[in-house]
Amino acid sequence: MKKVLLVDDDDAVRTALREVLISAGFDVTAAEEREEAEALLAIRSYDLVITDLRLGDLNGYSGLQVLSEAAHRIGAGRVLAMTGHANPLVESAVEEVGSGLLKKPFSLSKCVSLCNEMVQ
Amino acid sequence: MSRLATLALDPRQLHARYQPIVDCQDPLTPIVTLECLIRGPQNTNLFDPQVLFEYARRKHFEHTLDLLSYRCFLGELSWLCDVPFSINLHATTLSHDREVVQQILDPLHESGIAPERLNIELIESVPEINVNLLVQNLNDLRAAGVKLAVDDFGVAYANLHLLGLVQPEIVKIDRSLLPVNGSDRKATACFLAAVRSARTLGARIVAEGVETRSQFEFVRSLGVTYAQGYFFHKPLEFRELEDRIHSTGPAGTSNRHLAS
Repeated sequence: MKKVLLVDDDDAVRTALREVLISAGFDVTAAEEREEAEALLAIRSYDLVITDLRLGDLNGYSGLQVLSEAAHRIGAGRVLAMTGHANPLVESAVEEVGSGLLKKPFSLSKCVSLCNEMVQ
Repeated sequence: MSRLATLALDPRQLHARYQPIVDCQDPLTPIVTLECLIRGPQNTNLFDPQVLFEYARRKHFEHTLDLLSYRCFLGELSWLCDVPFSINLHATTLSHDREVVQQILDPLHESGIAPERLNIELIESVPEINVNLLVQNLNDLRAAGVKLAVDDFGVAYANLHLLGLVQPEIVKIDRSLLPVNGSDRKATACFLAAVRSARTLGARIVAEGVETRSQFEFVRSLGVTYAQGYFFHKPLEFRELEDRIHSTGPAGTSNRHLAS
């Protein structure tokens, strides 16, 4: 079973994504903040990391740090960013890390199929 | 402060566990001493102590969490007479400031626990610490009767330099150095090197992570003083520990399987 670390500070989004990924056969660990995600990355290993780019910070993009840490540990091809606040600067930062970007709103089925592709 | 950090710093959300340490030459007296372990809030990722302390380090409250955990242990252990116990404190906590000495000794006195019962296991998780302050604080604690140990010896920053600085009474050899079986020559050589280093300083040795009879026989054959691990005991909740001690006494036994 592939291990996924899912990071989102929005309880509703995190719960919905977690449920759908579990139904799709993933072993999901859900985290709500940057330091929690970074601690998990330091201690455990994952096949895929999905993170929102805004984690409790209204003006910043601390999810980029999670993205970068995850890409460093498991490879950029195994990390996926989500955001409802895409702009050229953010897109370029995500591109620099080398990860994929899911723009909100997105369908849950699209997310699952992307995850399946990434862990192949 | 975030919801998770607030939970992690709420003493009611911290859960103490106690792992007995046995005397290798007399394993039928299992509760020679205890290692106190903390778990974070249940149903969160922080229940795992490794994740909890990594999170605390990243949130810069490792020192606060160390001392909160310590107070949780004392609250329970004051009910147990005479059993020595060890707590884990990070080098960052012990070199935080000069006040940390009183922050350790005062609660002991308040709990009516003799300092001689306390053994501090020093965890060195980062290289950047104030070494002079650390040594000064450790000397004060030792002068008050507290014993010192180096934890996880042989991995990360728990190295020979630290042994020289601390001059510990006890060295705990990290579980990763314990050979899975006796035929692994390289692993055996590493473990022996760690044992020799500890003995050079006159320290007693604890082998961590003993999970099988052959590992126990191996460490016993080397004259290692103490051992801990799932072969003897899993970490216990306080009530389980109390039951075990009261049914057998600190020098009693629940490890009859070791006699066979």
